[in-house]
Amino acid sequence: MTWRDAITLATREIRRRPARAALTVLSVVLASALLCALLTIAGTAKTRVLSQLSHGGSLAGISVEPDSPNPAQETLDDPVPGPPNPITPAAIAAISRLADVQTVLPIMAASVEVVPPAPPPTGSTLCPAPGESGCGTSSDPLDGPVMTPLLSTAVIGANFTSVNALPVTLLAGRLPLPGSSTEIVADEQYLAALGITSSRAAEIVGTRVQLATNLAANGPGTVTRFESAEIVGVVDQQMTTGDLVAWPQLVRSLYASETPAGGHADLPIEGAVVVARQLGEVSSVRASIAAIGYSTAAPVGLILSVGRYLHVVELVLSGIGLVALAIAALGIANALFAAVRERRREIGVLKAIGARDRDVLRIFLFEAGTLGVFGGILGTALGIVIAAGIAANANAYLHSQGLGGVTLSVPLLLPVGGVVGSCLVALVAGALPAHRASRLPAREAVDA
Amino acid sequence: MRRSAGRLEKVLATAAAAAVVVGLSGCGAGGGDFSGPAPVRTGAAVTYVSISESPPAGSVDVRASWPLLFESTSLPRWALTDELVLPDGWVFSEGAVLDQLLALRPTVVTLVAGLPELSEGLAPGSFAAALRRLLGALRGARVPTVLVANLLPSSGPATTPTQDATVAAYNKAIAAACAAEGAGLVNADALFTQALRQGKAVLGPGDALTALGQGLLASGFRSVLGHRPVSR
Repeated sequence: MTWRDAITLATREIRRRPARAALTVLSVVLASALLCALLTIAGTAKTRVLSQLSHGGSLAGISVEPDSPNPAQETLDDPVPGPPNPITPAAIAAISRLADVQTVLPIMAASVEVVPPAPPPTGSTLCPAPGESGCGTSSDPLDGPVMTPLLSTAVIGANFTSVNALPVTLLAGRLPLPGSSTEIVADEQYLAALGITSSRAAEIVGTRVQLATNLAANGPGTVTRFESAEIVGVVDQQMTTGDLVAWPQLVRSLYASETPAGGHADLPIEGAVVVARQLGEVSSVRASIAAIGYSTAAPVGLILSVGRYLHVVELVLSGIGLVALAIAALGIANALFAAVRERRREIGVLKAIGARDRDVLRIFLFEAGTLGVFGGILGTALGIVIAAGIAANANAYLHSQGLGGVTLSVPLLLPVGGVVGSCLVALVAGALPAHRASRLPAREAVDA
Repeated sequence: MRRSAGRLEKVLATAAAAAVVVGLSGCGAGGGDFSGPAPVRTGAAVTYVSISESPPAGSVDVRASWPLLFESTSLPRWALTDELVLPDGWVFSEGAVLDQLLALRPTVVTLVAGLPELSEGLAPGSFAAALRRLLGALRGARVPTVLVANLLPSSGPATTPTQDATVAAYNKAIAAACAAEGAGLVNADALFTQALRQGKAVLGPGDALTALGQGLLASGFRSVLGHRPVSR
């Protein structure tokens, strides 16, 4: 008997009992979907939790402070630093040259007064109709629009091309386009200053603010410069003190306005984010940076500790999925035992016309494998869809709470492993019935 | 038998491909959502300079000040706004002011003229000559658009005929200088006089602009700006 004959016989049997085949496949689908969904959700949750611990930055990220190290505390995740020690470009260069350092991202900031937008006063020709969209609402023109005080803060310069290494989590909107000098993102402190809760973060996306700086005096008059910028997103950032984040170009421009030399002076470095090549090398890099003269902080101890607990959760969830898969395997075995019982006469005829034990074994194994493959494919796809649905619901909840959402991460190994694993489980489950069928003596089978 | 086996093989291959596609589609990382060109404030952008003798906002919220209203309602989206405040007026430090002003490389200039000079008792003729020198210098520096507002009326106690005549002489000098040097004239005097007659609270204590007055002045500048060029 050829492979093709075995396949034909197996598929014919599947088509002859479609309901039984469908129910068997369904059990595999549900089991593999459950396992796949659990593993996807567990992996995504682990990534999100660890990302939260690192404030959205790299797990191997180290925050360098403009302070001297405190020898008594330097081994702690978040030590109390020593006396101030400004970070210089030379220090940044020295840190960049350290072994095991992958990236060094200096953090700069410029002081500004933030002027949120004002509606034109009702009654002026700029706003002729009271209540018109965007017009002031005050009934007393002497009062002017009701506004919160201007916000004295800093605009932080960040290289968003390395945003994955920075302790920045996008909460609403998007990040500024590359190199933009007119787009900024606000952080939660800005929302708080305007009296807006994090859950309403999306409301400020698209608003325009004026960034006010006092130009260096070079004449008899004083000049206040207003640069308009659009808030395109809201982030949670832990880089340094400041309520707005922009590309460094905008920060340099703001700083240059205030500098008598016309911006030739170096923009002060408020801090730096250093990314070690591996999580395990964070401690040695921190020690090297301390030797250069700066205090550092990194939640590596916390990350490792939480990571271990999350691994236990993964194991438990995998166990639940495997139990479901075992139940599915029993279903396959049961279906094949039934098939063997029903087809004893057919097996006997096959053997009588020359089929060998291994030919019969092949037919039943192929039938089991087919059920497993179909169940695995459909189950894996269903599992990913379920995980995506759960992630969407989780994101809706997280965004409503003003928190960063999760990004579903499905490793390529999971769908491949889901299909192959289901097939293997089905083959194992079908091995005993197939073996029993192959061992049936021809005469006994025909007489049955 | 052969045909059905072939069909099964096709089904298996299609299903496997679908599974891989579904799997891969779920593997996309979040990352930054960068698309399209970045809006960048280029060197050719509009730089608007407002010149006044006191911070334009006065007692009103800076957001409702007329330069910011004018900028947001009348100028292109990413204009720079520089508020040049000269407490002593510009006539008395004319040369230094001009250097400071041109260093800002303005493309649109608005000037609320004359109040400190009037207070200091500067003769209208001297004021007119100084204003013409300033406007001429701005024209020489190829500043595309210069707009000048004349003196506002007073909402306080009745003024004397002499004071009225002086204000009128200043406003006449301002109009003449604008006409001679191609600057736009905002007749703030007429705008505010009409508003006051209509009972609108455009001026507050000490003749400071109210929020409504800020909007009125901004709309006055906007109407005179019209289609004048705002960049080089």
